[in-house]
Parts: sequence; C-alpha cells; structure tokens
Amino acid sequence: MSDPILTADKLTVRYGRRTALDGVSATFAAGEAVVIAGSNGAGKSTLLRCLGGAIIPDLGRVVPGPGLDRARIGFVSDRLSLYENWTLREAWRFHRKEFGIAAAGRPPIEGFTLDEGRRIRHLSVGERTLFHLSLILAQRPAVLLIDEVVHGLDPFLRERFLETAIGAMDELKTAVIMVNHILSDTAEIPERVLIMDGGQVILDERREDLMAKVKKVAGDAAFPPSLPVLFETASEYRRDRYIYPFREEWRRGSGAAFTDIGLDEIVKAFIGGAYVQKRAR
Amino acid sequence: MLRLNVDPASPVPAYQQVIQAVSIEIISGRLKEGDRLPPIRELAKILKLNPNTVAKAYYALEENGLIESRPGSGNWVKPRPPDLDSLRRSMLEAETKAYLEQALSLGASLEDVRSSIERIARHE
Repeated sequence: MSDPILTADKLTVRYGRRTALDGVSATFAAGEAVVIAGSNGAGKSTLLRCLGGAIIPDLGRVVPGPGLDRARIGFVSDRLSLYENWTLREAWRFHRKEFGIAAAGRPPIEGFTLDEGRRIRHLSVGERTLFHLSLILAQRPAVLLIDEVVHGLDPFLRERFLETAIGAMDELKTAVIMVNHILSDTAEIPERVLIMDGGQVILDERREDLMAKVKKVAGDAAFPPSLPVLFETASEYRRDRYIYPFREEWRRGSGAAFTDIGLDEIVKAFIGGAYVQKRAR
Repeated sequence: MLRLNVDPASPVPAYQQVIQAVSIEIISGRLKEGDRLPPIRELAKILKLNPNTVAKAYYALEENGLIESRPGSGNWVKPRPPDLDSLRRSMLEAETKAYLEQALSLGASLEDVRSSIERIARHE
C-alpha cells in the first residue's frame, strides 16, 4: 500500500438535527481508485465534500497526505460555480489565475471540443461537466473527487469522461474517489468499494475480495441456518438469497448452488439489507 | 486489430478477463511473435479499465511466458510460448466443461451432444 493521500479521521457532520456523517474514518492511498456507493441520504456526497474541503466537519478532521497541496485536489460536479455569463475563454483565464496555473491552454479532452467563445449558461449539463473536468486537469490533480456526475452523461460523453480520468491516473498517478449508485457506470476503474448507510461506512473492501465474498443462492434450496444471509428477495415466482461473507468450503455439502454476481447486484444487496435492518428497528 | 473485450457485468475479475482475452489472441495465432501489445494506458482507455488492472494482467502474462516487457518500449509477444499446446488444451477443456454442463442440464445425453456438435460442424 502506498502512502495515504487523504485520511478522513472520525468525521461527524450534522445538518440541524440530522446526522449526515457519524464518525466516518477512511484512508485513501495515492493513485488508487475508489467508488463510494450507498442508499440515498447515506452521507456519500457529504463525505466527498469534506474530503474536498467544501464542508468543515463538526467533529474530526481531514488529514492531507505529506506534501499534498490543496490546489491539487479537484472536485468535479455538474454544478460549476462560475459566472454564467462568462465565455469559456474568460472562465479559463479566471481559473488559471485562481490556481496559479502556468499552462497557456486548457488541457484538451480527447474527442471533445467546445467553442471557447460560448457562454457557460449555454452549455448542456454534460458539456459543463467535461469543461469542469478540463479546468481541474490543468491543476494536475493528485486527487479527483467525482460527485455523482457520470450517470448524468450521455454514453459518448461518459466514455470521454472515463478515458480522461484513466489518462490522469496513468500520467499523473491521480487518486480517483467517485460517488456513484450504479457501479457499472464507473466501468472497471475502481479497485476498492465503500458502501455507506446512515452516515457510516458499512463496507470497505477491495473489488475482487468483495466479489469473492458475496454469492447468491437462487430458489428454495435448503442450506444451514448458520449461513449469513445479507439480504433476501422473494416473490411467488422467485427467491434470491445473498450470502456474505461467503466461504468456499460451503460449496461442498451445503446442498445449495452459490452463484457469482456482478458488483451492481452486490451493492443492491447491501443497500437492501440496510433498509431491512432499518425497518426492523 | 485486437478482439479484446471485457464485460463489466461479469463476475470474473477484469484482469483475468484481460489475461484470458490476450492468451486467446496468442494461442489462436492472431497475435504473433514480435507483435506489440497496446500500451497499458491505451488498453485501459479502450476497455475502460483501471491502468493498474491492465498492468497486473500484463504482468501475469509475462509470468506465464506469453509476453515480455521491454523497458521503455512496451510489451511484446514472445517467441514461441513454451507451453502453447498445454495452454490451448486447458483453455479448450474449460470451455468444453462449461458448455457440457449447460447441454447436459437440458437433459441431453452425451450421444445427443456429440451428434449435435458434429452436425453443426459439418454445416459451417
């Protein structure tokens, strides 16, 4: 494991009486790619904003890695805070000055160009997002925080966005921390998955380990009651049980057929399991 | 052009899918001795993979003796992979096993399966 680039140390954030983050700790390594998933209102975006310095937590702190310059933390969202009346050229000039960027031109996004004379307010949501990404690339980011923007892009722009992030990871060893509901939107980029619920991190696993540890049993096959069922869906015609953490030796002798499932379904099972627990309380 | 694909919905880890796909290209002869593999960054972009994933797959392919990495000039298909036949056989066996399980689960007999394969092979 390489050096941490950002560490969240027992972060608590309250909005009035609601606790959005409840003592969250997590360490992010230089150059790694992480996806944060979870139910609506789980605290994902709040965590990301704390990491980016946009929210100061009520308790706890965010510790930057040694020598990390704040200007090298980029936060991509589709709510670009620039004057709507500016042209792209003016916005770039402002951004350059703001961050002391030496580069003369805005870094290009392969396969995507915008007329520099257009105004911010005339950009579509997707164009804004990619424009914002190119501004941030000029900061040569050590960390890219990406808040739920990928799913709002059309398939063409999504490819351009992901390719650009991949290029930064390769060239600049940028760490990518992205919030997303649908993991397949993030292709195969994240190596690590965090799942949040109720302001806490309920799961933090390497992608491959997670895939090995969650299995599905379809149908009514009996299996020992000691097996940990994470979540169950049942209707008249179909019953699925999700097992976590799964152990290989259960394949023999338990009488049930365990099938591998993809990440989207795994995340669904964790979120579903968390909803069931909440209802039971 | 390489016929490489990675299925993000598949439960098979992406780096294993890359290893398998590149192995198939080499075993089939579509990638030949002295051919250069796409640079890590390019393959990562094409397949929307983490560059580390591609690097890990290339490293495993090197361990398997299929490719070699030349510092500064990328990854190249090695002259005559040592165990081409046994590799081909083991991959064929894995494919056959998966197919056979599916076919037998339909209630077909081994004889049905054999004659079905022969019939289809004749027509193609």
